Amino acid sequence: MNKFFADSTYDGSFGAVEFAENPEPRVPCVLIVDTSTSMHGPRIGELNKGLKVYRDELLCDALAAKRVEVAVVTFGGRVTRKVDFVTATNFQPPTLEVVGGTPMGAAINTALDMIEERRQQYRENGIAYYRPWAFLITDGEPNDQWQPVAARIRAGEQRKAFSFFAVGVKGANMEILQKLSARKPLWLQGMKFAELFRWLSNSQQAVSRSSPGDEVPLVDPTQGPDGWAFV
Amino acid sequence: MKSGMLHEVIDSEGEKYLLDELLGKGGEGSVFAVHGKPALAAKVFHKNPPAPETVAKLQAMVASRNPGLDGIAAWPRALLYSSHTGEACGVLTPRVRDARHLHELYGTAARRRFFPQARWFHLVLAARNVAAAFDALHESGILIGDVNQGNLLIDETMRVRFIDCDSFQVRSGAQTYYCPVGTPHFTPPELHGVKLRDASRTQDHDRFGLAILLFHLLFVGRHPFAGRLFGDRDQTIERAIAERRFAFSKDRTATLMEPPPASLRLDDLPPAIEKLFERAFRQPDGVANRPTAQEWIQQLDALLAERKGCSFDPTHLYYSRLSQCPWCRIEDEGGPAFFVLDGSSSIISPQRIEHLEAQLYRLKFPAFPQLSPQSFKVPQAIAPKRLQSYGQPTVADLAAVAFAGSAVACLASPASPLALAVGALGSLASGAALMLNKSAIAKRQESGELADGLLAAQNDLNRKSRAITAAHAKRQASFDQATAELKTEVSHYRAADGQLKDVLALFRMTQLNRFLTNYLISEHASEIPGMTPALASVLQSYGVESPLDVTQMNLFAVPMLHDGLTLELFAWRDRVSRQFVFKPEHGVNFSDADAGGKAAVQRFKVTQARRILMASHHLDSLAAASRNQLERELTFFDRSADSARELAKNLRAAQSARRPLERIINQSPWMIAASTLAGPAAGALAYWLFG
Ligand SMILES: Nc1ncnc2c1ncn2[C@@H]1O[C@H](COP(=O)(O)OP(=O)(O)OP(=O)(O)O)[C@@H](O)[C@H]1O
Ligand SMILES: [Mg+2]
Repeated sequence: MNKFFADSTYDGSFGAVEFAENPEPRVPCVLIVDTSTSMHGPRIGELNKGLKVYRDELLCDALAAKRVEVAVVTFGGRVTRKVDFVTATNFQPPTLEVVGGTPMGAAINTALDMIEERRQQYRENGIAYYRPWAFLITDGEPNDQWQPVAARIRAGEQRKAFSFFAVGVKGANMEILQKLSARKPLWLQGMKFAELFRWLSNSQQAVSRSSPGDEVPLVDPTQGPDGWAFV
Repeated sequence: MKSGMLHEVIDSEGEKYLLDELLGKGGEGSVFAVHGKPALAAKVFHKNPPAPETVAKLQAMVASRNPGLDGIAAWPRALLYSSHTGEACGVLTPRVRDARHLHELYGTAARRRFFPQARWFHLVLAARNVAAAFDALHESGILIGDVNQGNLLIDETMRVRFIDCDSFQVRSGAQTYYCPVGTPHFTPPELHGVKLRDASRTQDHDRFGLAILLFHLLFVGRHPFAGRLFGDRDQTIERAIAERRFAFSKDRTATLMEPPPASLRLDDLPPAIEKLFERAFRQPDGVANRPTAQEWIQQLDALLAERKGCSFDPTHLYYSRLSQCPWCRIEDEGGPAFFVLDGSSSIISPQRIEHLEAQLYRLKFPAFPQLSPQSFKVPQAIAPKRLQSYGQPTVADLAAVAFAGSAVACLASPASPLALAVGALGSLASGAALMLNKSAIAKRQESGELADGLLAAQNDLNRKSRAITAAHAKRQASFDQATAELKTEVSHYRAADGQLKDVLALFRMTQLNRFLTNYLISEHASEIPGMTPALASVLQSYGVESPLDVTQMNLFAVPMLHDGLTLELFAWRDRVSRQFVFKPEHGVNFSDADAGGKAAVQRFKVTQARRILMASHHLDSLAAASRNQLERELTFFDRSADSARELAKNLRAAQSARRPLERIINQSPWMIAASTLAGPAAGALAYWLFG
């Protein structure tokens, strides 16, 4: 339906405007957030606050604010593209609510699809980009097929198509996270979501100033007063 | 953090400074305001104490300070020491006030906010002043080294000042202090992979960074090495720099890149500036001839003098020798309005709307090329000519005559059985002769092959003509659909004055449908309790693929679908529909329409008009492409037809050269065999009947 307009103008010009107005190289990051019922109460509350910290931290850095792009996929009962890629400047942290089971596999798939789509848009619009981040936060285990996703993650990491990080909140099935992620998954200390997102923002600021393709050494999140993780 | 605790510092004379709010933080230090001294700033290094080499460098810089440098840079004034330990910890500089980073001028969103008055003229002026600042430093024998978008601050008057001078490469007597850092997107190819700490920079290196900065300014934020790549490659800016792939270059066969959409083009600038950029970005290895700051100043000054205002939009300024306003072109192609009036997001001059209206008025729907069945002429076999005289009779001719004679003899059988025997023998002999004689065989085969070839060619041509017709019909169908859609869009445009809201509702509907059609059950099976991949493919085979297909009617047709799943499907459809968010394509949403302002209608109309104009270009090129395609296919067909015609001609020539009798009998082994038997058989029959 209305295919012609869909192909020739609508999608094209929409992206073209966005990228022409801000042609800075991008650091895409998709957050894959567990919003199943186990996250209820203070957890989801702290996570929501953490998202605001993340936005505020990014906004403090004028260049990073134009370069870091955030997307949010949630999985609680069903998979939702909560926020499609936007630059930090335009990122409105959503208020997440909990519901239902934990379709983690499908959520990761959706997130990786989004990265792929975004990459395509960058290419079409002549936008340089850094290696995309996929950042999973969960306190449970998948209730769907996750093995195929694990293979997809491994292949993507190998091609350097993205970096996949997994963070387990107390109760998470670390064994599965271990199998999903090529990198070692991390435990969140208590509910240090704010510290986590501050670290995320700082790391991405560093990346946004490096050259695409460089490995930026990340600050060890398990150390120091700002640490938020343990292994 | 550590520096935050450090409240008081002293200079070498022992004067105290109290640190106030943080002005900014970088990789090497944090910069603070100085309490009670609004004209000063203090940079405190993260590395505490700094390396002795750094201290020596700063001392040399402080000593070489002069008014010329003060005018273009936050040049170090004094070293700062910790009042506790007495060790060096930072540097005192003038504070650059009311200025922003360069990228906040060339970045469109930031410019709207911080420099709402700025037009392209201002960007050119800023570029000119950046070049002048480089020139002044280079004249004093100083190199910037780490050229980047954050090391220059710019104020409302487009005056620029360098900050972060402590990283410059400076000389003091025989000693040269290097610049230990670099920013990859501004680093020339010859410095890639070089350890900058020990690298002596040159003016030519700086000039590469300068050209990149100037490019960002003139091209409203675009990086010269970021563009669209031909083919399916991935490439970083560093690699593009190393391989001299200047995305805006004229030499696309070398760069295999083209500029990104909605950007200025290199030929929107004076030819002299075009050449400077090509020289700066495509300099081969071993040459050091990038444009100097002086050259840039000269050409940018010339450009400033040769600017022109657009007749449609007062915010559009451009190089006066261009025949068309490049900013209008970018907007008409669906790009953004880079420059705005008074910070409001869009002001549309009445002339602009009139201009668009006029273009819409002239809008013609292109005709689709016609294809008539007469375009396909399949050559047929032609009857052989009767010649006046034939050449020397061949064995085959004689055998054919003998055949005829034998046949006559056979038929004489009622009169004499001997005639039958002779005739039968003759018939057999001439048959064998025809069968075995070389030239008889050659004649037979030549004609046979030609005839077969012609038949095959005819079949092939018929097949081709069917394929061409089908492909053409398909193209026509999609063209017709596109035309119909364009007409609908035009009617939306016309309707906007009266019923903007209704029009928006229609757009919403279209978007929603598009959203739903792309939301496949097979890809979202996990969202529907009870759904399995197998069930999803069953549904698919009954045409139920997306939420849009989830209707009572459709589900009825699917056998053995239990009620539970049906209900889940409906619930899922509703959930998915609720996820849909309307993206106003015209920057106009329902509340704008509610407000009923004329501005909303205008904004809608301008965007819609642009959509239509763009789509009509697309339609034109679709028609043109179809015409070319059809022509190509028809030429191809004609070429095949020509060779078939050639075959038919050769066949006719071969046939005409043969005597009719031989031609008929010596057609094929079957014909010969039949003829060989026919004579004696007929003779025998006649003998039996009448003999
Ligand atoms: N003289 C000054 N006046 C006003 N603001 C300043 C001044 N010097 C620095 N700043 C602010 O502080 C920020 C950091 O300063 P600077 O670039 O000198 O630090 P740096 O550690 O060398 O940074 P980088 O690692 O990015 O080169 C600047 O981006 C600017 O916003
Ligand atoms: Mg610095």
